Amino acid sequence: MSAVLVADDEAGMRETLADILADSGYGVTSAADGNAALDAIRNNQFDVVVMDIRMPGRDGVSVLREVGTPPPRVILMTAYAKERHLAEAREKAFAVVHKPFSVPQLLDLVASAVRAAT
Amino acid sequence: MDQVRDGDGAPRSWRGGRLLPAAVFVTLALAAVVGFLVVRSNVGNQNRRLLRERTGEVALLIQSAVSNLPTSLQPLGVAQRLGGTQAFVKEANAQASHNPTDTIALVRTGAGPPTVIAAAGLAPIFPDGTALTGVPATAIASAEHGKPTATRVFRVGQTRLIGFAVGAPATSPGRAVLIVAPIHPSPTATHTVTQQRPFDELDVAVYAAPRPEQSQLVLTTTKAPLTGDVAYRRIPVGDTRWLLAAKARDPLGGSFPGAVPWIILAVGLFGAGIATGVVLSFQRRRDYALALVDARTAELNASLEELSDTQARLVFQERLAAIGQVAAAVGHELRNPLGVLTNSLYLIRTALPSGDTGRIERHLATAEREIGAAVVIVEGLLDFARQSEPELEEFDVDELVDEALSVAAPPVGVDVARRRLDDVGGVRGDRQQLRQVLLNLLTNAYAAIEGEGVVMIDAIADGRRVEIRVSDTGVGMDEDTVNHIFDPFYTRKAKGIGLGLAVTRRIVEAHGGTIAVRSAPGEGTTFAVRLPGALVPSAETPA
Repeated sequence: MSAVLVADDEAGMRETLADILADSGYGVTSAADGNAALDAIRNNQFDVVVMDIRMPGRDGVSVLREVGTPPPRVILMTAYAKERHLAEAREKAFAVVHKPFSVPQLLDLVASAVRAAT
Repeated sequence: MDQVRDGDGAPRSWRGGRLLPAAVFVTLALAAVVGFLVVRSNVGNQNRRLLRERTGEVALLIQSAVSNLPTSLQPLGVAQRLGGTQAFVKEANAQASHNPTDTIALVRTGAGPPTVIAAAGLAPIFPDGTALTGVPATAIASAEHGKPTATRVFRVGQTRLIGFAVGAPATSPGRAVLIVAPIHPSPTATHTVTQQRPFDELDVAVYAAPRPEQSQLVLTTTKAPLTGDVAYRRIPVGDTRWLLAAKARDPLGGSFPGAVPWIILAVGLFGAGIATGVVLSFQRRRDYALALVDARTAELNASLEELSDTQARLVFQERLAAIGQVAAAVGHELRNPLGVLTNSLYLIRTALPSGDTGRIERHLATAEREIGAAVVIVEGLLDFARQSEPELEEFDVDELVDEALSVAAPPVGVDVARRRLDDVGGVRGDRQQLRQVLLNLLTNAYAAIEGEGVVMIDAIADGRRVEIRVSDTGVGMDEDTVNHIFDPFYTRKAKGIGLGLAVTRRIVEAHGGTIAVRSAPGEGTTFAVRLPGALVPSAETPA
């Protein structure tokens, strides 16, 4: 079973994504902000991380910058067209998706990230 | 210069009027001419007065000379009366030897024409026994009445003659003496006697008649006839009158007074020219200045118009930018609840075949919550856009805080403390709007606290003013953030539209109050809302 971390400060997004991914057969861990996400990544082995960019404490791009090697496959989410570090996000992340996104497409992305990781 | 003469400049110069310099010139020139005429008239009058005086003097001289003539005849009369004809002839010859051209005749008067008894002189005009007719006879007839008389000028052959007659009592009755002398009224003949005043200043002519008859001219100092300013004076000679005509050789007042009017005219005309030049110069300068002002005003107007256009464009662009800012803020902020809704709907769809109503209910609740979040975002925008006047009512501050806390309950780890709210009691204000203020301040305070902390709600009454403070023990703000905290669309949160405090301030100011913030990084934040005159006196406080 592939391990996935869902990190988003919005409870609704975090919970629904966790439910969707769990339903699809992933082992899901949740984090409510950037620092918690960084801790979780450092302390666990995730195949894929699905993470919001804008979070209190530490944003998604900053988390991506801080994680050691080998970095997990990270799918970044954003609600904003003009994200400050969008170029860096696209470069370092496996994918960047814009909210609201199609759930089947996200699942496809997660699946391909998992395949790429193994 | 050419620039401003073009366009508006040219007509403007006509506005100044080209009549003014002409008027100035004409006026001054007229004044000069009038001055010239007046002074010349005065000088002329003066000269004429002097001429009259001099002529009078000359007339007196001539009159005195003429009146002496009978006196010179006296010895002849005496000789005739005492010594008879022989004595007369002797005396007459003695006198004629001094004036060789004279003829001195003793004439018998009475019945018939006067007849010459004896004539003396080198070449007597009248031989003895001549019966006199014409002018001499008339003069002798007058002399018989006792007055010495002068004859008119008369001719004998080519010789022009004048004579004087005297009768009794200078002579014996029936006798008269007649002296006749040729006259040559040429200028040269008289020059020797006209070297002294008053003759030296005048040209004179003497007529042996009361009118200037050329045939009666006795003497003259000039060959030319007297014309122009001529003074006349009649001189009594016996029972006839002679005429003296006189004309000044040079202006009697001197040559300078005669020049004065011309000087006045010249100076006046010159002055008029100068004044006209000065007026023209000033007019030209003024025209130039006015044209310059016109040109500059036109430039300024054009600049102002351009500025106004630019400003309008800027305002329009700013408005567009603001609209863009609003659209972006709202649009992006709505993407979060929309994303959650999408997820929830997906989960509901996948749960439907299983018939797991528990799961479906849970996802529906999530969807409803997100719709609520979206509504809050939209309402925040509407609150900002709406400029509604406060609807005043009286209520308890304590109750308002209860309402706000029930809507925005403190998150886990945050405690809410309340101080002195009971003491304040009733206030007057828009309940809905002031609850919104409290809600905004509370949610900001909650957001500022990371982990655990305290939010304090405090109220202070001062006269009729009430101050409500919301403090937190959160992260605090730096100076730059404090300076912009009330700006619309300014947010420090990772998410949020940035309108909460802008709306808050607007509501407080609509109540005539103020809102202040005090904060420093790591020292928490305090917002103080001051509402003057909002406090309801305790007697009126609702129970």
